[in-house]
Amino acid sequence: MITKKTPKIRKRAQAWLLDFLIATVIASTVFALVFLSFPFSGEDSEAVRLQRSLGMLSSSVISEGQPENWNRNNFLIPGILSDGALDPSKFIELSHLSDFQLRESLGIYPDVFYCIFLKKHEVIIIDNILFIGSENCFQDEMHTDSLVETRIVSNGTELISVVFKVWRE
Amino acid sequence: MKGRQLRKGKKGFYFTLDAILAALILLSFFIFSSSLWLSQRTTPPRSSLLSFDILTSLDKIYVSDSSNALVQQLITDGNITRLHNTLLEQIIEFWAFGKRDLSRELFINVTYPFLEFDDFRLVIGDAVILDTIPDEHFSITGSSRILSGITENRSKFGYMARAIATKMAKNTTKIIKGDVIYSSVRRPRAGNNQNSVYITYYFDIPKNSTLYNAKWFVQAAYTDNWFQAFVNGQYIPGSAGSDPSGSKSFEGLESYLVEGRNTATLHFRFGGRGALGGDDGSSHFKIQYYSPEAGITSSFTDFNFAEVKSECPIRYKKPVYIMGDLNYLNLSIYSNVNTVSLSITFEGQDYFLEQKENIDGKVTWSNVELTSLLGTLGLDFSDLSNKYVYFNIDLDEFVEACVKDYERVLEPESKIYLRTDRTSLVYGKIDITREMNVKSYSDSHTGDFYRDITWNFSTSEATTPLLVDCQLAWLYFLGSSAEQAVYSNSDLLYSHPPQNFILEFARYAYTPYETDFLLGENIFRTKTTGSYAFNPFSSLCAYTFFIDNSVSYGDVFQTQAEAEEDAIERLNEVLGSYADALQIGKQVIGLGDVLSLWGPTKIELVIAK
Repeated sequence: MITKKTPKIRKRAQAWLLDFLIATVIASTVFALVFLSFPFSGEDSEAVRLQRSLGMLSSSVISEGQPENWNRNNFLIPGILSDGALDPSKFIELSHLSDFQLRESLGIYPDVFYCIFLKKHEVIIIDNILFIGSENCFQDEMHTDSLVETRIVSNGTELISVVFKVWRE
Repeated sequence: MKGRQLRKGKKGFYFTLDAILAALILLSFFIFSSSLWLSQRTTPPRSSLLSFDILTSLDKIYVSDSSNALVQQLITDGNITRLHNTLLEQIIEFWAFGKRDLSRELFINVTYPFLEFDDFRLVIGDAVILDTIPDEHFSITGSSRILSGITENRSKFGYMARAIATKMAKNTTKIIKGDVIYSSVRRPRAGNNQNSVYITYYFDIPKNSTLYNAKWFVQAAYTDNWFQAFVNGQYIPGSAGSDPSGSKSFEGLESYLVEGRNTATLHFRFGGRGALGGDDGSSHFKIQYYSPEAGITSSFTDFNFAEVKSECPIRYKKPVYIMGDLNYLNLSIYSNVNTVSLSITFEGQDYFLEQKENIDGKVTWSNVELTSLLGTLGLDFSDLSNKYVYFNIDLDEFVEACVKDYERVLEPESKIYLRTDRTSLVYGKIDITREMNVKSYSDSHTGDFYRDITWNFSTSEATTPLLVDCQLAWLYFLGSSAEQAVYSNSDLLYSHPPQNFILEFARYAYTPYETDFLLGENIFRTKTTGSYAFNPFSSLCAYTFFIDNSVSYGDVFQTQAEAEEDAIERLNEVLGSYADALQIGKQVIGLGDVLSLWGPTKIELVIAK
């Protein structure tokens, strides 16, 4: 009786163990993938950090900003649009913000270089401002990796490009 | 036994199924959550942002503000009439009104170069306007907007109307300015040489005009000149003889004038000592009238000479205000004289150009010749632009004292023809001229001559300023020093020093291109020192402006009659006291079925990834 019962108990234990193992593997995989995909969880890759910096930079700057009539003393988000069109005074005000203020408000990683400039056929200079941001904006040979995003806005009389550039050196 | 084994087998199956379902649920959750996060943190595709940005930005630029050359051309051509349209609205409006090619051309032009390297498709309503995406391309993204040609917050049902004055009458003033024209009336040693100098100005009065007032102020070149005045050949009583001031005013001349071509003739003769008989350039004939011909009154391109007859050589100085940047100039002189000499004077400086023999009764200087002659003096057309330039003609070798010989005739067909970048702008408008008021005068010089004089005029939102033009009666004691300054409001327009001293400061004109005109009262001021002064009562300053002859669609009314009445009322407000609409064209739109305006319409821009 005893010898006949033992195999049945072992088989049942094997089934439960297999079920448990499968569940554990699936759960671990799910948790691992979710954990890896969660933002700022551990070290991001360089490409991800560049991409995130660029996304935050462009989406914040191509807006009216917060508050809408912001200035260098009260801004939360420094957008350069007013009534949906480029506001040169906001662009000039943006140029007066420090690198620290820009990085903090625009979510740019400390090790990512960045710049913003206006362009149609040539770079558009407003109030002697060629570009805003890190040095070497136009020295592409110094960039080890870079991403560029171009947004189109109206300046009231024509369409122009706002070019966002992020890179490493 | 067999049944229990089956139940146990099913239990294993249920376990496995349970595990698979759980795994699927977890996997689905993972995929959903990860894709949600990824979509948040990654930048949208460029093509999606590009289409959104372009449609949004085109809807933020008004055609009136657009710097695009094609847009400006379309406005000039009259293809774009609604200046408050955005570029996007204009693209759809062209499409809605059947101008498909213009719709395409405008979109391509205003979006250049942002779509230069992209395949894209532009769809308005259900119609594909542009499509460069290859058929085999499946990966596309796009944005769309819904727009309407009807202004927001306006009822979509009812009637609205616009009105155009197709026939008008205007209250305006015609000013015929005298030129500086003289010829010898004295013998070489002394005394009367028995020469008569006849000067005849030709001018037109529109048909069916009602004349309110006609005045003529004559200032002789020498104060002792003896002269007579005639209008259409009729002698003006009291004009014979000389006056101590050399000037006379004639009023109430309406009955002497006729519809169509008129003449005003002056006959100068020797007085007591003056060597020259003629007009000193400050004479003017002023006619106030109400005319059903509302076309442009003054020409800014053709400047005819007066007819002059004399048995001695003639000197003729014709002041011409060149409004805008000069780009073409020629001169034709019809006369029976032997030689014609040409020089120009501006800002107090004389420049001799050339003397020509008269071979067949006509002497001309072409645009090429004048450009070349100016070039030899280091001048070009830009030096003559936006200022009064005197074209000085000597018919035969000019002398102040002569023995009369044969009758020289300068024909009235003689003229200066010019074109500038602004001369074409004045056509198709209704121009109104008003004499400016003398507001104040002070710092007396001699008699009625003052060193500080201001004239004023008013502007309104319903009018578009064109020109302030002054004919100034001046006085100067030769050899003395003097300063000269001219102001528009607080803007200093001319100042000696540092600019040249102008001996014969008989004309000055300016436009809103040179100085800002204020809404409301504006001032023109002359300020001199020393022995230079102007006579405010003999001078004549006039302000010329444009008024619109139409009003656009207004509010929405329940009935067509109300909408029409509103349009006519608004048109009359625009015309004000300047003009009357004798015949009005009306266009009424029933908004219930949107006869003319378009929308709401969807515009979609799709770009291949």
